[in-house]
Amino acid sequence: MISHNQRHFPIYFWVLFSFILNFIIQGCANYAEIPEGIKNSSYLEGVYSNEPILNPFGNNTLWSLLDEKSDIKEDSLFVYIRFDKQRRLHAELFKEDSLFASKTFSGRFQSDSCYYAGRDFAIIPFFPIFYALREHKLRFYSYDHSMVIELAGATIGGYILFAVGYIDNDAWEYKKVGNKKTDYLKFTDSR
Amino acid sequence: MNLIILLILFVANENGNRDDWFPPYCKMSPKKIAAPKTIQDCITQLDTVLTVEVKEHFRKQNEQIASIEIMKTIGEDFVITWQLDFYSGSGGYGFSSKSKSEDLLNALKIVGVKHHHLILKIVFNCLYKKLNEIPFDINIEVQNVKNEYDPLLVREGLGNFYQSDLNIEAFEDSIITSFRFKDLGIGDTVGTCYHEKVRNSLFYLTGVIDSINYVDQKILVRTIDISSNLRYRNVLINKRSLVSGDTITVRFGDWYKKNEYEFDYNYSKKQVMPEWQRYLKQKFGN
Repeated sequence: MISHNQRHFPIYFWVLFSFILNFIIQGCANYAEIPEGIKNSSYLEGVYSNEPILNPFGNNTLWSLLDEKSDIKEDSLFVYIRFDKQRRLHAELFKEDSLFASKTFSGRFQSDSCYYAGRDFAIIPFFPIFYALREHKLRFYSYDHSMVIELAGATIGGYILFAVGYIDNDAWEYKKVGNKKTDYLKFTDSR
Repeated sequence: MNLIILLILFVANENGNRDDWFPPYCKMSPKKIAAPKTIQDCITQLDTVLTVEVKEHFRKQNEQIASIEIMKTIGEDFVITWQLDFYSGSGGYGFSSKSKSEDLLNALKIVGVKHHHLILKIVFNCLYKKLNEIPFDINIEVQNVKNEYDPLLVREGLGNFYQSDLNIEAFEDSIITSFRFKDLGIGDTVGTCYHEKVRNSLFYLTGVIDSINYVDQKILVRTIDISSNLRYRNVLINKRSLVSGDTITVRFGDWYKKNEYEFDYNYSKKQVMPEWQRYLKQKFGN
């Protein structure tokens, strides 16, 4: 006869289960195939327009991808991107002399000429009563005169037997204004 | 805990069973429509239920494609509302042994019309004539639809219902494509939304027509813009990598002309790839 205590799963089961879920969601949020003709990762440093290059798939600003919680709506902003010796990505949102916001990402360069920012991962683990998993990660690469930020994300959540989830995989392109922070002045004059 | 779960299920069920909801093309909930007994009942009900915008657009359409287009979008809803597909293979409503439109189905069965698509086609053909004040005889309409669609119906063998549906869909698609093909000209800007399976990317392809093959309904398109949601510069079609400026021969069916909008009866508004149309206007102007 099975005793009452034996019917409960031990704690290590739930730890193991959380790890398995973690791996599942990591498998969901995958980057797409890298396009041909992208430039070396050293081209990434520079000043970019905050507005995306025109495309029919939505117009996320560069800063809204870098900082999801940001609610800055001002036009004609620029983003300066540079890397330090620890390979951290520093991004500054500015207009003329005013700095609106800044953010630092830890990440890594890989041999495919892309910069992979550290992933943003959250889990609510009360499986199966209430659970949720969310992962968002960003990849940066550059073309001749622009930078592409690719977002790969997955969200899964549910309670009891009801579960929903979706996978994000999109990319936005931003025009490169120049390599130095002051290069935005040339871009502003030419507009 | 059980109580909370039951409460959630109860609330979800209540929301799903709302009788007062109705789709944008209707003036009232389809659940309130009574079961029709004759074709004339169906016509009268549609005339009452459909919104003014839907009827007005339907009335102004070309007779050749009017009923096909409306059936493709909202036709299926009336098949379900009236339970017209009871005898054509896909029907079956719970434990009920007969359709609520039993009288109508039996009357049409006698004259040899069983497939729900044919019944709906007869109804919409008659409605079109009624709205345009063209005199019509239901018996003649029944005969016309029978003559046109009977060769498409497969009556024997497993899966005959699905094969009939595929035949009907292909036949009606060819009519719509032929109709749209007549308006094409060399130099027209055309585009399509294309999903590339290899890289799982969505593309909006835009091009200019270089030549038209009227026999095969094919067009030679010189691409002028390739826009991908993953910012690819090339697109793979039939194992060929295309970049902006390349030419490709395609069937016209899935391509749309710039500024060509189809009326979506589901939402009572014109829309075909609106994101692409907006993008073209911003990029190339009018």
